[in-house]
Amino acid sequence: MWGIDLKYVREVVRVKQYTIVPTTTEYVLGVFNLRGQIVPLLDISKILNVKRESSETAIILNYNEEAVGFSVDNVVGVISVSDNEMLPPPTEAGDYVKGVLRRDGELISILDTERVLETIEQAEITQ
Amino acid sequence: MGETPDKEYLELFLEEARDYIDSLNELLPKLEKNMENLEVINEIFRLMHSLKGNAGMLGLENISKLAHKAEDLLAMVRDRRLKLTKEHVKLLFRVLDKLNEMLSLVEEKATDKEADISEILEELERALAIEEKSEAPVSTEKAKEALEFLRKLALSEEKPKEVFEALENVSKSFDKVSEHEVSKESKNVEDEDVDKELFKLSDVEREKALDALARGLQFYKITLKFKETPMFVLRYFVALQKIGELGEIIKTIPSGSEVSQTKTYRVAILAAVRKLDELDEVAKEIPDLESYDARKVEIEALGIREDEISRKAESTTDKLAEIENLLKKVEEKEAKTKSLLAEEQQQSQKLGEVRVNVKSLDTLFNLVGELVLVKSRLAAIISKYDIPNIKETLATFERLVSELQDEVMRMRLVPLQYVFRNIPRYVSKLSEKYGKEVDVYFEGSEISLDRKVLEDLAEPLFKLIEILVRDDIEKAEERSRKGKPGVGTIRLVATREGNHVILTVESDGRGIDAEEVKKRAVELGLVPATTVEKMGKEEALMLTTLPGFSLRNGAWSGLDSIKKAVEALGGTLEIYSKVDVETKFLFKIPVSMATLRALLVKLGTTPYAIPVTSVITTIKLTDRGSVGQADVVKYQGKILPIYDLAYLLGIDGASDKKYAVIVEKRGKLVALAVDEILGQEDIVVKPLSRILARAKGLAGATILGDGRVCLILDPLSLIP
Repeated sequence: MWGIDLKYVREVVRVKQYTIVPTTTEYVLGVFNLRGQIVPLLDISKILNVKRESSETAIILNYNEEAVGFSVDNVVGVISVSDNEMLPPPTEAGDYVKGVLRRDGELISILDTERVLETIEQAEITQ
Repeated sequence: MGETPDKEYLELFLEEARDYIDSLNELLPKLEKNMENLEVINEIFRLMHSLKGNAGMLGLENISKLAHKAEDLLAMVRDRRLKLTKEHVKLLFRVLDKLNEMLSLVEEKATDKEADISEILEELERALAIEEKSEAPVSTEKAKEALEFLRKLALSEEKPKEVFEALENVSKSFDKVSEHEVSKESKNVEDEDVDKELFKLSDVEREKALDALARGLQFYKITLKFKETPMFVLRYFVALQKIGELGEIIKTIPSGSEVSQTKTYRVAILAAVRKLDELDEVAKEIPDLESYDARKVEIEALGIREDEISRKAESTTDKLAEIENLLKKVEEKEAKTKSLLAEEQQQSQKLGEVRVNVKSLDTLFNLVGELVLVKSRLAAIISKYDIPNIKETLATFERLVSELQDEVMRMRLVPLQYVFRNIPRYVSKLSEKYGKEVDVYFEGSEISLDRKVLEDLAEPLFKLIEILVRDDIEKAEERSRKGKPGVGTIRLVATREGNHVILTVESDGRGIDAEEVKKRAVELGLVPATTVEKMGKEEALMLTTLPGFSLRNGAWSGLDSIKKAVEALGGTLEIYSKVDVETKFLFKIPVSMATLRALLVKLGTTPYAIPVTSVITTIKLTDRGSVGQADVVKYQGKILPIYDLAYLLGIDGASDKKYAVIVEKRGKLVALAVDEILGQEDIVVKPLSRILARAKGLAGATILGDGRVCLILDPLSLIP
């Protein structure tokens, strides 16, 4: 289970269809029409190195004043986290985890959103 | 004052202040060139004055203080009490920088309290302390005063354009009206107060009154109440002119400069005329007048003594001669002023336009874009049914939408001037930085581009200019060794070519040696030596735009970002150079990148758009063959190379394509194979997200009638 800081999150939408963008990296699924705005749909599972099925749910985030969509399996809910609940990420968790916390016996990794997006942006540039 | 001002006012203030700063940015280099230019000095004075006033009202004391001191300096220059030097102009530049800095501060924190202006204020004080003895006045005091009035009126901020129309007539009698500008203390007050104020004459007004008495005129207090119309200010001027023709106007409340602020639509005029019935006649001719009243005023009420009158009478003959002389001079000046007025009038009409927030303009623009899409969708639906009435209505609708679209596009056009005007100052900064002397010239600054295009063009343009000053223009001694004028030249020329603007930026410096560029590119490992060999000169010069390129001495680095920025606008960049003669960068930029006529093609099941500007034609593939390894196709007797577009994009391109789009790259025709050709359509270009901005071969995206996103290809960049 993953957590994303709500300050980045704009909304959650269903993406019924998207257009594949050739000449991009594997992190980019494509682009879709969000009320007239063209928004990239990203698959971050490839960056985080986790397996997942495709789904229609996407979280729209604000990144540098632009909308970016993360394709996710589903949205579980919103929780409040106090600072002292956050534990440092275990070293094997990779570079994209800001911290972890335990809730109802389950481990939640908090995503380092900016880092993920910077990585993708960089990958697109150097591609 | 001092508490945080209202946000709304602050925004207004900032918007206006930025305009002032922009204008100042334009004016100061002009002043640097010609330090005697009174027109420029006056304009700078006026801008500083407005800035001071506006800032003062919002309690932005530091801005107000600094503008005030700068205004003082300019006033002294204007009144010839101080001779302007290069140091003064430099100081003014620094004032500008400081003001700019403070505006940013205000934007951020809503106050300018934290700004430190003590140092620059001190310098201004020092400059002000060196007051020079005045040179002999060129014209008589009176003529100066009259001209001052004309100038003030011409530059006055609240001038409605009607004033100018009235002014032509007023000029005949402006000598009489001039006092309205002088009286400052008038406000809307109760009747007795009005009398008290009206009859309290300043020295100049008193002179006027004495002159009038000498001519045998009598004083009247005229009270006019106008209908509440927006034309009120104009009516006021008409009234002044008409009454002025009868004799002399001594004073009015409110004064000419304050009249536009009054809400009572009532004015009190102290005038000297021959007869009351003449006045009554004239009153009938004043339009939109609600009530009129004229009452005789005894000279005692004005505080004028008999002996003053006789003294005045003696000098009247002299005065008359002087006045005649003066009028002659004024007429001469007026001819000059008229052209200035015409200019000002144009500007005032510009001011008369409505200010629209750029954001709402963008929203409007997007909405129209959407409307165009809806129109296509509607047309698609309607085409399935044969209903004549609807088809007619649809045709009208389509026409209206396209007119609306044109109009909105036009609204967004901004002349290049907006970018050009900041360049002289930038160049003078660069000259200092790199120790070179550079003049910059412009042509075609009236040519307009879409606001967004212009905005995105500014940065690469400024960067290029820096590179030219840095790497192309030689230092003065090197130039004179080469037999060139010591001062280098950068020339920017814009012309319109169809839907594109061609902007060339050229300088007369060292130039770029194509052979040296080739060698260096190979050395840096940017291109293989074999590729370079075959390259022509122009192609070789384009190697300088590869990321990481620079000559051994570091020259010509940074051109890659310029090329990228231009291409992001849908434009192209070409480079020409003759060593030691010229270096020329040619930008071809679309006037507006918002809508695009595109050819829609299909690859597999996915539609793609190709801008028709890059399409020569489309063909059905029948004559396919191959020469060696390369696939070719016959077209009009010529053998063209053919590439599978899907393959170029890196999508599975296995299928046997039936059609091809023929495009031109560097003068050579190339065929691109596609599965299907869907036809041409007007599409609204939407930017791809920044993350994808650099994806190869893509120029943007659009939304099709069915809501799907369709990518716009830039086929030329895909061709190997």
